[in-house]
Amino acid sequence: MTLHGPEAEAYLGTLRQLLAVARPGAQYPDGRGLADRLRFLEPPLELDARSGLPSLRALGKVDADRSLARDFLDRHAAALPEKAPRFRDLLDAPLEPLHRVQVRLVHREGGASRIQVVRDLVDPASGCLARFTILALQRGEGQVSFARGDLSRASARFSDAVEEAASGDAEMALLALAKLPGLTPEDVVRGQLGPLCTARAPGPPLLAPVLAGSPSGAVLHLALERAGVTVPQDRSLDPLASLYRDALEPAARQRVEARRAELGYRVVKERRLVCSPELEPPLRAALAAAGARLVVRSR
Amino acid sequence: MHPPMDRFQTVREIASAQVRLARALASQLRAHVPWQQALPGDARSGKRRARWLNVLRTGRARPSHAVLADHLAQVQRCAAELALWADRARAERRAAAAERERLESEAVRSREAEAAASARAAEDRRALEALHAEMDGLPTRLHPRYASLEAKARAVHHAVAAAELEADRLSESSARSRHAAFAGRELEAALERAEQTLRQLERAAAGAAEQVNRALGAHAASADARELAELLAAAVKEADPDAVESLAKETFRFLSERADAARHR
Repeated sequence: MTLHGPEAEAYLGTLRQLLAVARPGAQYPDGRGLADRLRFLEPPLELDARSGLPSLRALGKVDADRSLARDFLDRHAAALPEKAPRFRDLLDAPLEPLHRVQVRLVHREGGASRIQVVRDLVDPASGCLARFTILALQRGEGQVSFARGDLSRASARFSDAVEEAASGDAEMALLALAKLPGLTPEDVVRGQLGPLCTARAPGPPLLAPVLAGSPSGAVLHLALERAGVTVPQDRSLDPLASLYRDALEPAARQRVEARRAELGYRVVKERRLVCSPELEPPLRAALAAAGARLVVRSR
Repeated sequence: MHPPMDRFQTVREIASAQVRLARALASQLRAHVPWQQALPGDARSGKRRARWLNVLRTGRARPSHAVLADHLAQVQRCAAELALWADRARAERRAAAAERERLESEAVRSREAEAAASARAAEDRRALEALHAEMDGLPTRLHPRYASLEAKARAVHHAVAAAELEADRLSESSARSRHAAFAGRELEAALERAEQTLRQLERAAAGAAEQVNRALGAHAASADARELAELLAAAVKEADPDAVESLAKETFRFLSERADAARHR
């Protein structure tokens, strides 16, 4: 899906407004960083049909241009003065990478350490931006080593494993990381920004009638899933998503349940909706009629 | 804008960037093949495994979506750099065209001025000849009019010499402008060729980015790895670095000739 001219501008404006209202916390992808990135998208605007957000290619183009900004200003600015302001702004913008694995030491005692791993990505399955925040206990330094006592350095194999594990649900990530030698994942949180639903791409059937009444309105989803040993019980507070295990075949589910009992974790899922002001009353009414208890905000 | 000699240097830079980026793009496109070969056989052949089973095999290699995302970023960077250089080549070509037009009109102006100076010299020469004839008609150099005619003839003689000198100067200036305009045309042609090559490379990079993006979007990177590798291999042919290199060599040769000619002058 591609938008042009004023339509693209209006779409991005709506998304920026919803991000400003949403103020996603640290467990979500950086909302302010995304809003900053949106400033640099060039027309035509390519959207990911699954998420309603700008496509990875459109978002990545900003990084490509940014990586060339210094060189541009040194070499080409005099010959292409009309492009110089964009590259100057790109160089100054506080943009975060779309994909990264960051490791941080939380606590260290003897041979054991507690580490926090943050994995940001554009989810290839949904086209939404996702952040995994993993808290894990490590014995020894097989996966993450510590230079000068506290400077965390993840092994390439560990980074690869995180990239592979943190690409589906939080529960899948926890199960996968628990296979790594010397590492016990305690808590995995997956925060997701998106999809952005509009009348043109209304997403879940529950929202379609609400969005049909407002062609310029939009709803941004903020989904959070947490799998961890401190979660009191399995609960899905998100009527638009099911627990990972519930979607498995009986044989597969049996294996996963056995592993879950071994690891002692539970899963909770929740979702917030941030919408255009004119959509708030009908959206609340539609959710109440469907018996879905979701937090809805428009300001 | 830059003076012409700087523009030769810019063309040299553009030709170098063209070769460097063509090589980089080809190597990025080829880099996909070893990765595709490293995939498990069932993934290459398109069979899908249950996702949860794959996940429980964590740590064997980088997941395909992460590799593809990196790949996309690299190809996009290359495409963006190619687009910048192509824009630069276009801007330089336009500046060179403006410069050439200025030189051409300067050459025309010089030619017109030269014609005027030559006409003035010819007229003065005729006046001088008339004066000499008048002086020759006098019986003796001691004639009262001789001295004044001689002074007048000397002044006209100086005017003829000055007009001829001016005509020579303008003729040289016109020739210089014509030569520079001719070199400018060649420069424009070189820049146009460079821009076309860069745009062709940019299209190849954008096409490759499109393929990788589609594979990522479909979340079928493993299953479609063979197809993707084939598409990227086709893009390598499109971004043929050897062809780009031979074009650049031609540009370098042209630049060396121009530089030699400039030194010679």
